[in-house]
Amino acid sequence: MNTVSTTKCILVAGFPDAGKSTMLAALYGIATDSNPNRPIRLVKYDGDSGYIQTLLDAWQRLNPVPRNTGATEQHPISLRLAADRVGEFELSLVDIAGELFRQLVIGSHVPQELLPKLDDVESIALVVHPMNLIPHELIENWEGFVASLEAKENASGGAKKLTPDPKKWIPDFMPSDVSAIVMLHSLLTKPFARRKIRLVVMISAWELVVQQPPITPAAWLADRMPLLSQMIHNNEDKIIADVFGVSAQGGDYNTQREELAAKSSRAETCFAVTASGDRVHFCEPLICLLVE
Amino acid sequence: MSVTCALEKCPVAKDGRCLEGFNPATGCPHYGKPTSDAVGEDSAANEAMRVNYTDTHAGQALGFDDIGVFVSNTLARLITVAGPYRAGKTTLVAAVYEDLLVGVQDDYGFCWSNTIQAFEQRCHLARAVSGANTPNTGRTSGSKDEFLHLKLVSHKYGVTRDFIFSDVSGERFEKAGQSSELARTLQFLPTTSRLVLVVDGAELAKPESKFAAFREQQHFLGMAHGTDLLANLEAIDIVVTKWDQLFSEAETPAVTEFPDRALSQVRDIVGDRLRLRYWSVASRTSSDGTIKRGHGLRELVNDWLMPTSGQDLSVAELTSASHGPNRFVRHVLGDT
Repeated sequence: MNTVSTTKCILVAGFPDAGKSTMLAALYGIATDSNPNRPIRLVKYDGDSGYIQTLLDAWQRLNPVPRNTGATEQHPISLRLAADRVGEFELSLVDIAGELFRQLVIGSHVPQELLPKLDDVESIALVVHPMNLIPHELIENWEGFVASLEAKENASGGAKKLTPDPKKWIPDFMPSDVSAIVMLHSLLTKPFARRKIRLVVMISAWELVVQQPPITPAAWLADRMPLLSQMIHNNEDKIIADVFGVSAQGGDYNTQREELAAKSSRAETCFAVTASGDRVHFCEPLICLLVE
Repeated sequence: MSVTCALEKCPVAKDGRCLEGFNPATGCPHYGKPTSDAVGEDSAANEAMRVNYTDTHAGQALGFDDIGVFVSNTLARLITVAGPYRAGKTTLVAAVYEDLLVGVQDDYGFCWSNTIQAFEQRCHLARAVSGANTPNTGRTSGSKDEFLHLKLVSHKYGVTRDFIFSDVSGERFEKAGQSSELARTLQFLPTTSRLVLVVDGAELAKPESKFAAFREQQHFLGMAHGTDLLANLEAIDIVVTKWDQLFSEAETPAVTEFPDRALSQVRDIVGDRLRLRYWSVASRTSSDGTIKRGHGLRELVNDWLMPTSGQDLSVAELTSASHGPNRFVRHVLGDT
């Protein structure tokens, strides 16, 4: 039952194809599920309900959710939710790799109308997709970089290309690792008044991180995003951080479709994994951001 | 068709020489770009667009006006990296940052940087995304003095420390070595707590230049010291860069005798008051793979992080803390 009423604002931020929309669909699906023991319930949804219904439909049918076309960049989706341990809270979904990201990280300025919204943010859920990172590759590792770039282009139908003049640096070249740090830095310095922030790094599509021996989310972050990992470990006075692996799909639609379809509830299929590798409820990373 | 360059003072259209030092000049990111007039039009448009926007943290390089406040607020240490044109000054500082991006290290870690975009710009030409075939670092502009910030935590010594690194063109140091008046224009020198004298390892490897490879640094140090501009200096590092290019010559007398000779020359100028160190560093991997990127770098950074001012380790502790068999890694003179 609700014990405390809060008005905490969580910013869900992520790069293109990070899995934010799938995560939103799963969260909405769980929050509107008929299970009385669900950890999160929907109180109010602000935004285009047709958009969220489309996401939900795809998720429930075990189909990839459609990509966010950018409509939510200037006007973030807001969900008002309630959770047992923390009461009501607001969840805002912002595509930090969209226009706002360009303004905040690349242009180093934000629209004044969004300033109050960003000023209210107390917690950030940073969503990163293990297969869609902009890599940090030195020239001496060129072959590896080309391979990763080709894989990425193939995955998106060849839509992503290097800029015509790659020798000229543009902020879009920053590795995902660094972009995330620039965003955190921006939110912790002027014009924002906050000097401390709560952060959860959510590694989406965790079902795809298959390694032997199994890797924990904390170890994955240190290996794949080492600068961000160092920053959150070494700034405990500014950033209270945790890391989770999350699976909003619940499994691979190609290889585990039958297994997923056999479950009695779609919400049951989603899961999260703590920094040390323990499996927990899908909503635990968000609740972690809200608990004092 | 005439050649254009975005940099107003670049002589490439006249004599083919690139102001940023690229050879061929077509490799320069400014080559073929519109002149400053066109850039000005863009700036006006951008300015108009920014009216309804609020500035956030930019992460660009600091100017001299920024560092005074920064140093007093954070107790940051200003490390002046001095040396000739293309000796590897910017590459050395960029390599410290780049190394933190490659992986989590045992001895120290990244904490914060107020100039992260400036680091990214300087690292770009060493990255695959630049499309270049060989790693490079953009040439430091001669027109203004810039500074880079890095906050590191030392797991080895249990301290967190802010560093400000100078990113100043080689010409500025060359001229400062010739005139006390020009030396005084390096306004940041009195704030410097550590001076890194960069020696181009590639020059040290060439018979025709090996004896002159440390001359400019000596002149600069002599002028700065003689003009009393280094009053707050605690230590001097002599850093031979491009060890990956020098390695094949490592056993020749010119190279084996260089550390003692250079340290002696520095001691002749500044006396025994300061701690003197000698390092060999490779910011890139050698073509045959023998010398790995980052060779000597972590030892250098560990030394920067080492507690000082009454907390100094003894010479014996320093010696035992030294890593690896490379006899060039550290020479310690003048410790008390």
